[in-house]
Amino acid sequence: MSNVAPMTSRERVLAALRREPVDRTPVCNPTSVATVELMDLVDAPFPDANREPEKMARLAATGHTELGFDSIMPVFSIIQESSALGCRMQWETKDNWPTVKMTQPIWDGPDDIKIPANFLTHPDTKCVLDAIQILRREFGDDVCIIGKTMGPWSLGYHCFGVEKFLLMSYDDPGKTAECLERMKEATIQFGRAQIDAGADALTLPDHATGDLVSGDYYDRFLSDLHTEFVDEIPIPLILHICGRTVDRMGFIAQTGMAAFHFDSKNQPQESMKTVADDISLVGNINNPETLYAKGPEQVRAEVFANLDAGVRLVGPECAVPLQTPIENLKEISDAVHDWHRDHDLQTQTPAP
Amino acid sequence: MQSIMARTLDLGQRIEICSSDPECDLISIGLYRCFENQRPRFLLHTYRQTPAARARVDFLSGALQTMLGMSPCIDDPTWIEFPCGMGHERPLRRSFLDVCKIPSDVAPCPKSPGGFDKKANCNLTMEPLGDGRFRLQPTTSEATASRRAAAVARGYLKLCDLVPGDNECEVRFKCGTDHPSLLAMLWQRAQNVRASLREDEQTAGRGVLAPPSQQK
Repeated sequence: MSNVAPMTSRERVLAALRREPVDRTPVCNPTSVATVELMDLVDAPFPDANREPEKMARLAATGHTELGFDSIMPVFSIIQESSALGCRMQWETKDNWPTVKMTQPIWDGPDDIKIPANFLTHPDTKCVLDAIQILRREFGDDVCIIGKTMGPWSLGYHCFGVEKFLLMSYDDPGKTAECLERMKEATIQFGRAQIDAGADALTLPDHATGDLVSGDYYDRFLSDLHTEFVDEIPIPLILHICGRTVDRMGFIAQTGMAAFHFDSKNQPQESMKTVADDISLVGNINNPETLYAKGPEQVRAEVFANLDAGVRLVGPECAVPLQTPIENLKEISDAVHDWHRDHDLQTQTPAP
Repeated sequence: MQSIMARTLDLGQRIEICSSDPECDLISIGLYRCFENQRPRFLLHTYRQTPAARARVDFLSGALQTMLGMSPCIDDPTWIEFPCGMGHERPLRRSFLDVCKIPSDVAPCPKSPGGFDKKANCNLTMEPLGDGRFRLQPTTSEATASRRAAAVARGYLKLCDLVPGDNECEVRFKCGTDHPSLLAMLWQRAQNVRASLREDEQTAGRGVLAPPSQQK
Protein backbone atom coordinates (compact mmCIF):
# COMPACT_ATOMS: atom_id res chain seq x y z
CA MET A 1 0.00 0.00 0.00
CA SER A 2 2.87 2.36 0.72
CA ASN A 3 3.84 2.34 -2.95
CA VAL A 4 0.65 4.08 -3.95
CA ALA A 5 0.91 7.85 -4.41
CA PRO A 6 -0.95 9.97 -1.83
CA MET A 7 -4.66 10.13 -2.54
CA THR A 8 -7.47 12.48 -1.60
CA SER A 9 -10.12 11.07 0.68
CA ARG A 10 -12.48 10.75 -2.27
CA GLU A 11 -9.94 8.95 -4.44
CA ARG A 12 -9.14 6.61 -1.55
CA VAL A 13 -12.72 5.57 -0.90
CA LEU A 14 -13.60 5.17 -4.55
CA ALA A 15 -10.47 3.13 -5.23
CA ALA A 16 -11.27 0.83 -2.31
CA LEU A 17 -14.81 0.42 -3.58
CA ARG A 18 -13.34 -0.64 -6.94
CA ARG A 19 -10.97 -3.01 -5.08
CA GLU A 20 -7.97 -1.10 -6.42
CA PRO A 21 -4.77 -0.27 -4.50
CA VAL A 22 -4.95 2.62 -2.02
CA ASP A 23 -2.36 4.68 -0.16
CA ARG A 24 -4.02 3.63 3.11
CA THR A 25 -7.26 1.98 4.14
CA PRO A 26 -10.06 4.54 3.97
CA VAL A 27 -12.11 5.35 7.05
CA CYS A 28 -15.62 5.20 5.71
CA ASN A 29 -19.12 5.66 7.08
CA PRO A 30 -21.82 4.30 4.80
CA THR A 31 -24.26 5.20 7.60
CA SER A 32 -24.56 8.01 10.13
CA VAL A 33 -21.84 9.08 12.55
CA ALA A 34 -23.90 11.95 13.94
CA THR A 35 -23.93 12.37 17.71
CA VAL A 36 -25.67 14.75 20.08
CA GLU A 37 -22.39 16.51 20.85
CA LEU A 38 -21.65 17.05 17.17
CA MET A 39 -25.17 18.43 16.79
CA ASP A 40 -24.33 21.00 19.47
CA LEU A 41 -20.97 21.79 17.96
CA VAL A 42 -22.49 22.92 14.67
CA ASP A 43 -25.95 23.85 15.97
CA ALA A 44 -27.69 21.27 13.82
CA PRO A 45 -29.78 19.07 16.11
CA PHE A 46 -32.23 16.31 15.26
CA PRO A 47 -34.98 16.41 14.15
CA ASP A 48 -34.16 19.57 12.16
CA ALA A 49 -30.99 18.02 10.75
CA ASN A 50 -33.15 15.35 9.13
CA ARG A 51 -35.41 17.90 7.50
CA GLU A 52 -33.39 21.03 6.69
CA PRO A 53 -30.66 20.68 4.07
CA GLU A 54 -28.25 23.26 5.53
CA LYS A 55 -28.34 21.60 8.92
CA MET A 56 -28.18 18.12 7.42
CA ALA A 57 -25.05 19.09 5.45
CA ARG A 58 -23.46 20.89 8.39
CA LEU A 59 -23.90 17.95 10.74
CA ALA A 60 -22.79 15.40 8.16
CA ALA A 61 -19.62 17.38 7.42
CA THR A 62 -18.40 16.86 10.98
CA GLY A 63 -17.75 13.22 10.11
CA HIS A 64 -14.89 14.46 7.98
CA THR A 65 -13.85 17.69 9.68
CA GLU A 66 -14.02 16.46 13.27
CA LEU A 67 -13.76 12.69 13.15
CA GLY A 68 -11.35 12.27 10.26
CA PHE A 69 -13.51 10.05 8.05
CA ASP A 70 -12.74 9.97 4.34
CA SER A 71 -16.44 10.09 3.53
CA ILE A 72 -19.41 12.29 4.36
CA MET A 73 -22.84 10.70 4.65
CA PRO A 74 -25.71 13.12 5.17
CA VAL A 75 -28.65 10.70 5.21
CA PHE A 76 -28.64 9.92 8.91
CA SER A 77 -31.94 8.09 9.12
CA ILE A 78 -33.71 5.36 7.14
CA ILE A 79 -37.03 7.11 6.74
CA GLN A 80 -36.66 9.96 4.24
CA GLU A 81 -38.25 8.06 1.31
CA SER A 82 -40.91 6.49 3.49
CA SER A 83 -42.00 9.95 4.55
CA ALA A 84 -42.21 10.98 0.89
CA LEU A 85 -44.21 7.82 0.11
CA GLY A 86 -46.80 8.88 2.67
CA CYS A 87 -45.93 6.87 5.77
CA ARG A 88 -46.88 8.30 9.14
CA MET A 89 -43.79 9.60 10.85
CA GLN A 90 -42.57 10.15 14.35
CA TRP A 91 -39.79 12.70 14.04
CA GLU A 92 -38.76 12.37 17.66
CA THR A 93 -36.41 14.76 19.47
CA LYS A 94 -32.76 15.64 19.42
CA ASP A 95 -31.54 12.48 21.12
CA ASN A 96 -33.56 9.85 19.35
CA TRP A 97 -34.09 8.56 15.82
CA PRO A 98 -37.08 9.40 13.70
CA THR A 99 -39.20 6.37 12.93
CA VAL A 100 -42.03 5.27 10.71
CA LYS A 101 -45.23 4.37 12.52
CA MET A 102 -45.28 0.87 11.14
CA THR A 103 -48.39 0.02 13.11
CA GLN A 104 -50.22 2.34 10.72
CA PRO A 105 -49.30 0.85 7.32
CA ILE A 106 -50.23 2.69 4.15
CA TRP A 107 -50.31 -0.24 1.72
CA ASP A 108 -52.06 -3.60 1.70
CA GLY A 109 -51.11 -5.18 -1.62
CA PRO A 110 -49.28 -4.59 -4.91
CA ASP A 111 -52.06 -2.50 -6.38
CA ASP A 112 -51.71 0.03 -3.58
CA ILE A 113 -48.09 0.71 -4.42
CA LYS A 114 -47.79 4.00 -6.19
CA ILE A 115 -44.72 6.20 -6.25
CA PRO A 116 -46.13 9.73 -5.82
CA ALA A 117 -45.47 12.23 -8.58
CA ASN A 118 -43.82 14.51 -6.03
CA PHE A 119 -41.60 11.75 -4.64
CA LEU A 120 -38.38 13.62 -5.44
CA THR A 121 -39.71 17.07 -4.62
CA HIS A 122 -41.23 16.10 -1.28
CA PRO A 123 -39.44 18.11 1.46
CA ASP A 124 -37.93 15.00 3.07
CA THR A 125 -36.36 13.61 -0.12
CA LYS A 126 -35.49 17.03 -1.49
CA CYS A 127 -33.70 17.79 1.77
CA VAL A 128 -31.28 14.95 1.02
CA LEU A 129 -30.72 16.08 -2.57
CA ASP A 130 -30.09 19.67 -1.49
CA ALA A 131 -27.73 18.58 1.28
CA ILE A 132 -25.67 16.54 -1.16
CA GLN A 133 -25.44 19.55 -3.47
CA ILE A 134 -24.29 21.75 -0.61
CA LEU A 135 -21.63 19.24 0.42
CA ARG A 136 -20.40 18.80 -3.13
CA ARG A 137 -20.05 22.57 -3.46
CA GLU A 138 -18.29 22.83 -0.13
CA PHE A 139 -15.87 19.93 -0.41
CA GLY A 140 -15.37 19.69 -4.17
CA ASP A 141 -13.51 16.56 -5.12
CA ASP A 142 -11.68 16.17 -1.82
CA VAL A 143 -14.11 13.99 0.08
CA CYS A 144 -16.28 11.07 -0.94
CA ILE A 145 -19.95 11.98 -0.55
CA ILE A 146 -22.13 8.97 0.08
CA GLY A 147 -25.89 9.14 -0.32
CA LYS A 148 -28.46 6.54 0.62
CA THR A 149 -31.42 4.95 -1.10
CA MET A 150 -33.49 2.38 0.74
CA GLY A 151 -34.04 -1.00 -0.83
CA PRO A 152 -37.52 -2.40 -1.45
CA TRP A 153 -37.42 -4.93 1.39
CA SER A 154 -36.91 -2.12 3.92
CA LEU A 155 -39.57 -0.01 2.23
CA GLY A 156 -41.88 -3.00 2.48
CA TYR A 157 -41.43 -3.09 6.25
CA HIS A 158 -42.20 0.61 6.47
CA CYS A 159 -45.17 0.71 4.11
CA PHE A 160 -46.83 -2.65 4.89
CA GLY A 161 -45.66 -3.16 8.47
CA VAL A 162 -43.00 -5.68 9.44
CA GLU A 163 -45.25 -8.53 10.50
CA LYS A 164 -47.58 -8.22 7.55
CA PHE A 165 -44.78 -7.99 5.03
CA LEU A 166 -42.97 -11.00 6.45
CA LEU A 167 -46.16 -13.07 6.59
CA MET A 168 -46.89 -12.15 2.99
CA SER A 169 -43.42 -13.37 2.02
CA TYR A 170 -44.22 -16.78 3.59
CA ASP A 171 -47.84 -17.06 2.43
CA ASP A 172 -47.64 -15.58 -1.04
CA PRO A 173 -44.13 -15.32 -2.46
CA GLY A 174 -45.47 -14.27 -5.87
CA LYS A 175 -47.35 -11.32 -4.42
CA THR A 176 -44.28 -10.35 -2.40
CA ALA A 177 -42.11 -10.41 -5.50
CA GLU A 178 -44.63 -8.20 -7.26
CA CYS A 179 -44.56 -5.73 -4.38
CA LEU A 180 -40.77 -5.65 -4.41
CA GLU A 181 -40.80 -5.12 -8.17
CA ARG A 182 -43.04 -2.10 -7.81
CA MET A 183 -41.25 -0.61 -4.81
CA LYS A 184 -37.85 -0.87 -6.50
CA GLU A 185 -38.83 2.17 -8.58
CA ALA A 186 -38.54 4.33 -5.48
CA THR A 187 -35.06 2.96 -4.83
CA ILE A 188 -33.95 3.67 -8.39
CA GLN A 189 -35.52 7.12 -8.65
CA PHE A 190 -34.07 8.36 -5.39
CA GLY A 191 -30.68 6.83 -6.14
CA ARG A 192 -30.43 8.43 -9.55
CA ALA A 193 -31.53 11.80 -8.17
CA GLN A 194 -28.71 11.67 -5.63
CA ILE A 195 -26.22 10.95 -8.41
CA ASP A 196 -27.49 14.07 -10.18
CA ALA A 197 -27.08 16.01 -6.94
CA GLY A 198 -23.43 14.97 -6.69
CA ALA A 199 -23.19 11.73 -4.72
CA ASP A 200 -20.10 9.61 -5.37
CA ALA A 201 -21.54 6.39 -4.01
CA LEU A 202 -24.76 5.22 -2.41
CA THR A 203 -25.53 3.07 0.57
CA LEU A 204 -28.43 0.76 -0.18
CA PRO A 205 -29.86 -0.62 3.07
CA ASP A 206 -32.21 -3.52 2.52
CA HIS A 207 -33.02 -4.99 5.88
CA ALA A 208 -33.18 -8.67 5.07
CA THR A 209 -31.60 -9.07 8.47
CA GLY A 210 -30.13 -12.27 9.77
CA ASP A 211 -32.64 -12.53 12.61
CA LEU A 212 -35.72 -12.69 10.37
CA VAL A 213 -34.68 -13.63 6.85
CA SER A 214 -32.56 -16.60 5.84
CA GLY A 215 -29.79 -16.69 3.27
CA ASP A 216 -32.02 -18.71 0.96
CA TYR A 217 -34.69 -16.07 1.25
CA TYR A 218 -32.17 -13.45 0.29
CA ASP A 219 -31.27 -15.42 -2.80
CA ARG A 220 -34.90 -16.06 -3.75
CA PHE A 221 -36.26 -12.55 -3.29
CA LEU A 222 -33.44 -10.06 -3.40
CA SER A 223 -30.23 -11.10 -5.13
CA ASP A 224 -31.64 -10.56 -8.64
CA LEU A 225 -33.15 -7.22 -7.61
CA HIS A 226 -29.86 -6.11 -6.15
CA THR A 227 -28.06 -7.12 -9.34
CA GLU A 228 -30.58 -5.02 -11.23
CA PHE A 229 -29.83 -2.01 -9.05
CA VAL A 230 -26.18 -2.22 -10.05
CA ASP A 231 -27.24 -1.71 -13.68
CA GLU A 232 -29.90 0.89 -12.98
CA ILE A 233 -27.98 3.09 -10.54
CA PRO A 234 -24.61 3.71 -12.17
CA ILE A 235 -22.33 4.55 -9.23
CA PRO A 236 -20.75 2.31 -6.60
CA LEU A 237 -23.42 0.80 -4.36
CA ILE A 238 -22.79 -0.26 -0.78
CA LEU A 239 -25.33 -2.83 0.39
CA HIS A 240 -26.14 -2.61 4.08
CA ILE A 241 -27.79 -5.46 5.98
CA CYS A 242 -27.60 -5.68 9.76
CA GLY A 243 -26.99 -8.82 11.79
CA ARG A 244 -25.38 -12.14 11.12
CA THR A 245 -25.19 -12.38 7.32
CA VAL A 246 -22.34 -14.73 6.48
CA ASP A 247 -24.90 -17.18 5.09
CA ARG A 248 -25.77 -14.72 2.32
CA MET A 249 -22.46 -12.94 1.77
CA GLY A 250 -21.65 -15.34 -1.06
CA PHE A 251 -24.85 -14.33 -2.87
CA ILE A 252 -24.25 -10.66 -2.12
CA ALA A 253 -20.74 -10.86 -3.53
CA GLN A 254 -22.18 -12.01 -6.86
CA THR A 255 -24.61 -9.09 -7.25
CA GLY A 256 -22.02 -6.69 -8.62
CA MET A 257 -22.45 -4.31 -5.69
CA ALA A 258 -19.22 -2.45 -4.95
CA ALA A 259 -19.25 -3.16 -1.22
CA PHE A 260 -21.10 -4.83 1.60
CA HIS A 261 -21.45 -2.94 4.88
CA PHE A 262 -21.24 -5.74 7.41
CA ASP A 263 -22.16 -6.12 11.05
CA SER A 264 -19.83 -7.05 13.89
CA LYS A 265 -21.86 -10.23 14.39
CA ASN A 266 -19.71 -11.45 11.47
CA GLN A 267 -16.02 -11.89 12.15
CA PRO A 268 -13.75 -10.01 9.71
CA GLN A 269 -11.70 -13.11 8.83
CA GLU A 270 -14.65 -15.38 8.08
CA SER A 271 -16.36 -12.62 6.13
CA MET A 272 -13.32 -11.94 3.97
CA LYS A 273 -12.99 -15.65 3.30
CA THR A 274 -16.66 -15.88 2.33
CA VAL A 275 -16.68 -13.02 -0.17
CA ALA A 276 -13.33 -14.04 -1.67
CA ASP A 277 -12.53 -10.51 -2.88
CA ASP A 278 -15.55 -10.48 -5.20
CA ILE A 279 -16.83 -7.44 -3.29
CA SER A 280 -15.27 -4.92 -0.90
CA LEU A 281 -16.22 -5.16 2.73
CA VAL A 282 -16.76 -2.08 4.87
CA GLY A 283 -17.26 -2.09 8.62
CA ASN A 284 -17.41 -3.57 11.14
CA ILE A 285 -16.67 -1.75 14.41
CA ASN A 286 -19.29 -2.72 16.94
CA ASN A 287 -21.71 0.03 17.94
CA PRO A 288 -23.65 -0.83 21.09
CA GLU A 289 -20.84 -2.40 23.06
CA THR A 290 -17.63 -0.91 21.73
CA LEU A 291 -18.20 2.54 20.25
CA TYR A 292 -20.99 3.44 22.63
CA ALA A 293 -19.91 1.86 25.88
CA LYS A 294 -16.21 1.05 25.83
CA GLY A 295 -13.12 3.15 25.30
CA PRO A 296 -10.58 4.01 22.61
CA GLU A 297 -8.40 0.98 23.39
CA GLN A 298 -11.17 -1.45 22.53
CA VAL A 299 -12.06 0.56 19.42
CA ARG A 300 -8.45 0.35 18.31
CA ALA A 301 -8.38 -3.42 18.82
CA GLU A 302 -11.40 -3.87 16.55
CA VAL A 303 -9.97 -1.58 13.90
CA PHE A 304 -6.75 -3.60 13.90
CA ALA A 305 -8.69 -6.87 13.64
CA ASN A 306 -10.39 -5.59 10.50
CA LEU A 307 -7.16 -4.29 8.99
CA ASP A 308 -5.35 -7.53 9.80
CA ALA A 309 -8.12 -9.43 8.02
CA GLY A 310 -7.76 -7.26 4.92
CA VAL A 311 -11.10 -5.45 5.17
CA ARG A 312 -10.88 -2.71 2.56
CA LEU A 313 -12.81 0.10 4.27
CA VAL A 314 -13.07 0.53 8.02
CA GLY A 315 -15.89 2.23 9.91
CA PRO A 316 -18.80 1.63 12.28
CA GLU A 317 -21.05 -1.34 11.54
CA CYS A 318 -24.21 0.78 11.31
CA ALA A 319 -25.49 4.23 12.29
CA VAL A 320 -23.74 4.99 15.56
CA PRO A 321 -25.84 5.61 18.68
CA LEU A 322 -26.47 9.32 19.09
CA GLN A 323 -24.76 9.34 22.48
CA THR A 324 -21.51 7.79 21.21
CA PRO A 325 -18.43 9.52 22.67
CA ILE A 326 -16.50 11.60 20.17
CA GLU A 327 -13.15 10.24 21.32
CA ASN A 328 -14.19 6.71 20.32
CA LEU A 329 -15.14 7.82 16.83
CA LYS A 330 -11.90 9.76 16.39
CA GLU A 331 -10.00 6.69 17.48
CA ILE A 332 -11.10 4.81 14.34
CA SER A 333 -9.18 7.19 12.11
CA ASP A 334 -6.21 7.42 14.50
CA ALA A 335 -5.97 3.64 14.68
CA VAL A 336 -6.05 3.25 10.91
CA HIS A 337 -3.24 5.79 10.54
CA ASP A 338 -1.16 4.12 13.24
CA TRP A 339 -1.68 0.63 11.81
CA HIS A 340 -0.48 1.81 8.41
CA ARG A 341 2.46 3.67 9.90
CA ASP A 342 3.62 0.47 11.59
CA HIS A 343 2.91 -1.86 8.68
CA ASP A 344 4.19 0.43 5.96
CA LEU A 345 7.41 0.90 7.94
CA GLN A 346 7.76 -2.87 8.12
CA THR A 347 7.37 -3.22 4.36
CA GLN A 348 9.98 -0.49 3.81
CA THR A 349 12.55 -2.01 6.17
CA PRO A 350 15.02 -4.22 4.25
CA ALA A 351 15.13 -7.82 5.37
CA PRO A 352 18.24 -8.61 7.41
CA MET B 1 -21.94 26.92 4.58
CA GLN B 2 -18.57 27.89 5.97
CA SER B 3 -15.64 25.53 6.11
CA ILE B 4 -15.40 24.04 9.57
CA MET B 5 -12.03 23.61 11.22
CA ALA B 6 -11.81 20.81 13.73
CA ARG B 7 -13.26 22.13 16.97
CA THR B 8 -13.68 19.06 19.09
CA LEU B 9 -11.45 18.91 22.15
CA ASP B 10 -9.36 16.25 23.79
CA LEU B 11 -10.99 16.17 27.20
CA GLY B 12 -10.15 12.63 28.21
CA GLN B 13 -12.80 9.96 28.32
CA ARG B 14 -16.44 10.86 28.39
CA ILE B 15 -18.03 8.67 31.04
CA GLU B 16 -21.61 9.96 31.00
CA ILE B 17 -23.81 12.25 29.00
CA CYS B 18 -27.02 14.13 29.50
CA SER B 19 -27.99 14.08 25.85
CA SER B 20 -30.72 16.67 25.94
CA ASP B 21 -31.07 19.02 28.88
CA PRO B 22 -34.67 20.23 29.07
CA GLU B 23 -33.58 22.99 31.47
CA CYS B 24 -31.34 24.63 28.84
CA ASP B 25 -32.26 24.54 25.15
CA LEU B 26 -31.87 20.73 24.97
CA ILE B 27 -28.09 21.00 24.97
CA SER B 28 -25.98 17.91 25.55
CA ILE B 29 -23.63 17.95 28.52
CA GLY B 30 -20.84 15.44 28.84
CA LEU B 31 -19.10 14.32 32.01
CA TYR B 32 -15.44 13.80 31.13
CA ARG B 33 -12.69 12.14 33.14
CA CYS B 34 -8.95 12.43 32.87
CA PHE B 35 -6.07 11.57 35.17
CA GLU B 36 -3.50 13.97 36.58
CA ASN B 37 -0.71 12.13 38.40
CA GLN B 38 -2.96 9.06 38.40
CA ARG B 39 -5.63 11.01 40.24
CA PRO B 40 -9.02 11.15 38.46
CA ARG B 41 -10.59 14.52 37.82
CA PHE B 42 -13.81 15.44 36.10
CA LEU B 43 -15.11 18.12 33.77
CA LEU B 44 -18.57 19.04 32.59
CA HIS B 45 -18.57 20.18 28.99
CA THR B 46 -21.03 21.15 26.31
CA TYR B 47 -20.15 21.84 22.71
CA ARG B 48 -22.98 24.36 22.50
CA GLN B 49 -21.24 27.73 22.63
CA THR B 50 -23.94 30.06 23.90
CA PRO B 51 -23.81 32.12 27.09
CA ALA B 52 -26.81 30.18 28.42
CA ALA B 53 -25.09 26.86 27.77
CA ARG B 54 -21.91 28.00 29.51
CA ALA B 55 -23.90 29.28 32.47
CA ARG B 56 -25.76 25.98 32.70
CA VAL B 57 -22.53 24.00 32.77
CA ASP B 58 -21.13 26.27 35.48
CA PHE B 59 -24.30 25.83 37.48
CA LEU B 60 -24.21 22.03 37.22
CA SER B 61 -20.52 21.87 38.06
CA GLY B 62 -21.24 23.97 41.14
CA ALA B 63 -24.19 21.73 42.01
CA LEU B 64 -21.98 18.64 41.93
CA GLN B 65 -19.56 20.33 44.29
CA THR B 66 -22.29 21.40 46.67
CA MET B 67 -24.28 18.20 46.63
CA LEU B 68 -21.54 15.58 46.39
CA GLY B 69 -18.75 17.24 48.33
CA MET B 70 -16.48 17.58 45.32
CA SER B 71 -14.05 20.46 44.97
CA PRO B 72 -12.26 22.35 42.18
CA CYS B 73 -8.79 21.11 41.27
CA ILE B 74 -6.12 23.49 42.53
CA ASP B 75 -4.22 23.80 39.25
CA ASP B 76 -7.33 24.11 37.07
CA PRO B 77 -10.60 24.94 38.83
CA THR B 78 -12.69 24.11 35.76
CA TRP B 79 -12.04 20.48 36.68
CA ILE B 80 -13.44 18.97 39.87
CA GLU B 81 -12.42 16.03 42.03
CA PHE B 82 -13.29 14.11 45.15
CA PRO B 83 -11.17 15.06 48.15
CA CYS B 84 -10.15 11.43 48.65
CA GLY B 85 -8.53 11.33 45.22
CA MET B 86 -10.66 8.41 44.03
CA GLY B 87 -13.08 8.42 41.10
CA HIS B 88 -16.29 6.95 42.56
CA GLU B 89 -17.48 6.89 38.98
CA ARG B 90 -20.59 4.83 39.34
CA PRO B 91 -22.29 7.02 41.94
CA LEU B 92 -20.90 10.14 40.27
CA ARG B 93 -22.40 9.23 36.90
CA ARG B 94 -25.78 8.57 38.42
CA SER B 95 -25.66 11.72 40.51
CA PHE B 96 -24.63 13.75 37.47
CA LEU B 97 -27.76 12.64 35.61
CA ASP B 98 -29.90 13.49 38.62
CA VAL B 99 -28.26 16.89 39.07
CA CYS B 100 -28.99 17.67 35.39
CA LYS B 101 -32.68 17.58 36.27
CA ILE B 102 -32.34 20.57 38.63
CA PRO B 103 -33.51 23.84 37.08
CA SER B 104 -30.89 26.60 37.07
CA ASP B 105 -33.10 28.87 39.16
CA VAL B 106 -33.16 26.43 42.08
CA ALA B 107 -30.23 26.77 44.45
CA PRO B 108 -28.60 23.37 44.92
CA CYS B 109 -28.18 22.27 48.50
CA PRO B 110 -26.84 19.08 50.05
CA LYS B 111 -29.44 16.47 50.83
CA SER B 112 -29.69 14.91 54.23
CA PRO B 113 -28.83 11.23 54.44
CA GLY B 114 -31.63 8.98 55.52
CA GLY B 115 -35.27 9.74 56.14
CA PHE B 116 -38.63 8.09 56.40
CA ASP B 117 -38.88 4.77 54.62
CA LYS B 118 -42.37 3.63 53.75
CA LYS B 119 -41.58 -0.08 53.66
CA ALA B 120 -39.81 0.05 57.02
CA ASN B 121 -42.57 2.28 58.36
CA CYS B 122 -40.01 4.28 60.30
CA ASN B 123 -37.02 6.56 59.76
CA LEU B 124 -33.75 5.09 58.56
CA THR B 125 -30.61 6.99 59.42
CA MET B 126 -27.10 6.77 58.04
CA GLU B 127 -24.82 6.47 61.02
CA PRO B 128 -21.17 7.27 60.23
CA LEU B 129 -18.72 4.82 61.83
CA GLY B 130 -15.52 6.44 60.54
CA ASP B 131 -13.02 5.42 57.86
CA GLY B 132 -15.70 5.41 55.15
CA ARG B 133 -18.05 3.05 57.03
CA PHE B 134 -21.77 3.70 57.50
CA ARG B 135 -24.57 1.80 59.16
CA LEU B 136 -28.21 1.93 58.08
CA GLN B 137 -30.06 2.29 61.35
CA PRO B 138 -33.85 2.00 61.74
CA THR B 139 -35.47 4.05 64.48
CA THR B 140 -37.51 1.06 65.62
CA SER B 141 -36.36 -2.40 66.57
CA GLU B 142 -38.96 -4.27 64.55
CA ALA B 143 -37.71 -7.08 62.35
CA THR B 144 -39.33 -5.56 59.25
CA ALA B 145 -37.41 -2.36 59.76
CA SER B 146 -34.11 -4.21 60.18
CA ARG B 147 -34.71 -6.23 57.02
CA ARG B 148 -35.53 -3.05 55.18
CA ALA B 149 -32.34 -1.38 56.41
CA ALA B 150 -30.37 -4.32 55.07
CA ALA B 151 -32.20 -4.05 51.73
CA VAL B 152 -31.32 -0.36 51.40
CA ALA B 153 -27.71 -1.19 52.27
CA ARG B 154 -27.72 -3.72 49.43
CA GLY B 155 -29.09 -0.97 47.19
CA TYR B 156 -26.10 1.17 48.04
CA LEU B 157 -23.75 -1.70 47.31
CA LYS B 158 -25.23 -2.00 43.81
CA LEU B 159 -25.42 1.68 43.01
CA CYS B 160 -22.29 3.07 44.60
CA ASP B 161 -19.61 0.40 44.22
CA LEU B 162 -19.40 0.18 48.00
CA VAL B 163 -18.24 -2.91 49.81
CA PRO B 164 -20.11 -4.69 52.61
CA GLY B 165 -19.28 -3.75 56.18
CA ASP B 166 -19.24 -5.94 59.25
CA ASN B 167 -22.93 -6.78 59.04
CA GLU B 168 -25.70 -6.65 56.47
CA CYS B 169 -26.71 -3.11 57.45
CA GLU B 170 -23.20 -1.71 57.04
CA VAL B 171 -21.49 -0.42 53.90
CA ARG B 172 -18.01 0.92 53.36
CA PHE B 173 -16.27 3.15 50.81
CA LYS B 174 -13.15 1.44 49.50
CA CYS B 175 -11.22 4.70 49.77
CA GLY B 176 -11.75 4.75 53.54
CA THR B 177 -13.13 8.30 53.41
CA ASP B 178 -16.57 9.36 54.55
CA HIS B 179 -18.74 10.66 51.71
CA PRO B 180 -22.01 11.48 53.46
CA SER B 181 -23.09 13.85 50.66
CA LEU B 182 -22.69 11.12 48.06
CA LEU B 183 -24.78 8.71 50.10
CA ALA B 184 -27.39 11.37 50.73
CA MET B 185 -27.61 12.18 47.03
CA LEU B 186 -28.39 8.58 46.20
CA TRP B 187 -30.63 7.88 49.18
CA GLN B 188 -33.87 7.70 47.23
CA ARG B 189 -32.32 5.56 44.54
CA ALA B 190 -30.96 3.10 47.09
CA GLN B 191 -34.50 2.79 48.39
CA ASN B 192 -35.77 2.01 44.89
CA VAL B 193 -32.85 0.24 43.31
CA ARG B 194 -34.91 -1.83 40.88
CA ALA B 195 -36.59 1.27 39.51
CA SER B 196 -33.14 2.81 39.04
CA LEU B 197 -31.88 -0.20 37.14
CA ARG B 198 -35.01 -0.20 34.96
CA GLU B 199 -34.42 3.47 34.20
CA ASP B 200 -30.84 2.63 33.23
CA GLU B 201 -32.05 0.03 30.74
CA GLN B 202 -34.50 2.43 29.16
CA THR B 203 -31.87 5.15 28.87
CA ALA B 204 -29.35 2.77 27.33
CA GLY B 205 -31.67 2.01 24.39
CA ARG B 206 -32.36 5.64 23.57
CA GLY B 207 -30.54 6.97 20.52
CA VAL B 208 -29.65 3.52 19.23
CA LEU B 209 -30.95 2.97 15.71
CA ALA B 210 -32.65 -0.41 15.44
CA PRO B 211 -33.32 -2.06 12.10
CA PRO B 212 -36.99 -1.83 11.05
CA SER B 213 -37.56 -5.43 12.08
CA GLN B 214 -36.76 -4.56 15.68
CA GLN B 215 -38.57 -1.26 15.87
CA LYS B 216 -41.90 -1.01 17.65
